[in-house]
Amino acid sequence: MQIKFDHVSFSYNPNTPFQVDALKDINLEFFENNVTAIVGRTGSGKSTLTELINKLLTPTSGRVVVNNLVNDKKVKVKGKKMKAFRKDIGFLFQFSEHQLFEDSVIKDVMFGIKSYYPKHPNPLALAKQSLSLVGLDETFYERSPFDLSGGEKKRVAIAGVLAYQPKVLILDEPTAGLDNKGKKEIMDLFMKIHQTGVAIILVSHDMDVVLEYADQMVVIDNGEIERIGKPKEILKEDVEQYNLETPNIYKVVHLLKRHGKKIDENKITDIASLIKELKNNG
Amino acid sequence: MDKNILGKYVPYNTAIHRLDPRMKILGMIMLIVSIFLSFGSWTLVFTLSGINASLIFILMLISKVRLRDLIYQLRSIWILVIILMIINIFLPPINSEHIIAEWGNFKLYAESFLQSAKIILRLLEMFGVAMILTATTTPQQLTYGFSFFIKPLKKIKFPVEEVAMTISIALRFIPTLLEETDRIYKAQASRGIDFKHGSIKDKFKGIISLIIPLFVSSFAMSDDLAFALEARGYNPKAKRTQYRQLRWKMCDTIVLILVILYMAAFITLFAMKFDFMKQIFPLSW
Repeated sequence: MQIKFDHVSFSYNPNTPFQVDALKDINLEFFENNVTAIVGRTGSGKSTLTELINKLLTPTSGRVVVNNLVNDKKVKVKGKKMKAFRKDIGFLFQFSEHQLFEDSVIKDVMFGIKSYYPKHPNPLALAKQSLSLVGLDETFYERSPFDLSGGEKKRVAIAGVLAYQPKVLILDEPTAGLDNKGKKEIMDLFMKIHQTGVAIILVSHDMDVVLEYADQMVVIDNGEIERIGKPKEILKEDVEQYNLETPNIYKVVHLLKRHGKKIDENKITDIASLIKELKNNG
Repeated sequence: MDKNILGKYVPYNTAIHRLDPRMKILGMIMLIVSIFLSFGSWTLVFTLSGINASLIFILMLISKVRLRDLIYQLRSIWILVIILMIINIFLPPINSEHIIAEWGNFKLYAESFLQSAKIILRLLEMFGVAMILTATTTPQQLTYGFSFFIKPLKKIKFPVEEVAMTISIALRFIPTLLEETDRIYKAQASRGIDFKHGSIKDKFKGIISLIIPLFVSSFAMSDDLAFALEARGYNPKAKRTQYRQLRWKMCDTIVLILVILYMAAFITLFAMKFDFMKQIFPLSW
């Protein structure tokens, strides 16, 4: 699935005193079967960028091409065509637990399938499959989503997006507000989904998550692309110039280096690889 | 949500923005009275309307409210415009005498159109005044202004401060709820709801998928707010002062006097039924 940004600019409320230029002349291509991280500080335009992909927003100028479908100002898209735009893209928002509304978990998970594929022969099977993927068993099926805990709600929301089998999954701050264990659990879940052939676009503040899981990293600041490259290469530099935080694991590495340990940063993405590297170098 | 809707504050810093909200509320009421006080021959009605319209237009220029946004309001009342036309054509105003066309018993009077035009003009002028008020005054200031005017009701045990607090909280949560709506809207649109072009069934489902999460989260929010107020010992019955005091300035008095004079001129004309246009152009309608 090809996603390409071609000279895309986007302004909120153009030609009013509220005008905000969120994105300026973005050229970008997402590679298939990658985990691409989009990073930048709050208000840098990263959410806007993702919302242009499934045409929640339309560029003020330039165009976004998704699977031969064009999102630009000139082409009016509505009805079935709009669904064609969106059905291959799963979008998981930051507060995805707020999107649940049906009276049972299983109905809510089937909602996406029913609206994209009204004639699907067996939406129930797909829903059950994606619920088991996120680790919710049949005791949950008939429960009301509003009686669940926060974490369970989030899982139902994820299942609801996975159920219509998107080819690209856009994750907006998936780890926000989670502890380390929760982060690992949810990211492992997304990696499991990624292995079934789903490309992932990850918007995050958490540089450790980006370092550990992303193949490619796009740094955005003030609506412009500052850097594109491998997370390891970008993050080992001084990333504070882009208003990003150095990953915690690299902070540890820098400390260890200052105390005379020999460590090759290129081999380190998470705690396990750091331990391995330390063992190898005695 | 990027349309400039009626009642949206626009953060410029013009002379009108700086006026006292109480003055602006009074001024709005008086201007609306003037707008509805045109009378007499059609020439006079439209002359007076024209005077009002030009004053409102000047005020719009000063306060940087765009004419386009006012015209945009027509979109929301076009059904009203059509109904008005039909009613006025089939039930022409009394004293209609200028026939444009005639089919058998049915007579088409010029007055039918004049009458519709008069009403639409007045409505638009009223919208214009209301837009100037809301575009130049923050909701918070408006609340302060209104609570000043209902303060005398305290004498009859009307809970003025509680009402003011409730209104401020309600206003405070409008942007928060809009944000929440936007977020849920986007989430459901990503799950395949087509709010704009779907079938009626789709749209109905879409609205339900918006309203239920909104209800749930606004109840959660109001719960949180209530707990936060309780935790800080908020007592609705206590006597309150305001952090931002309204300050009546000299220019407020001057503008208020000008508006009073303006309205007084209209009332005088109306009371004396002095149709000066008829004096100048005796042949006018």
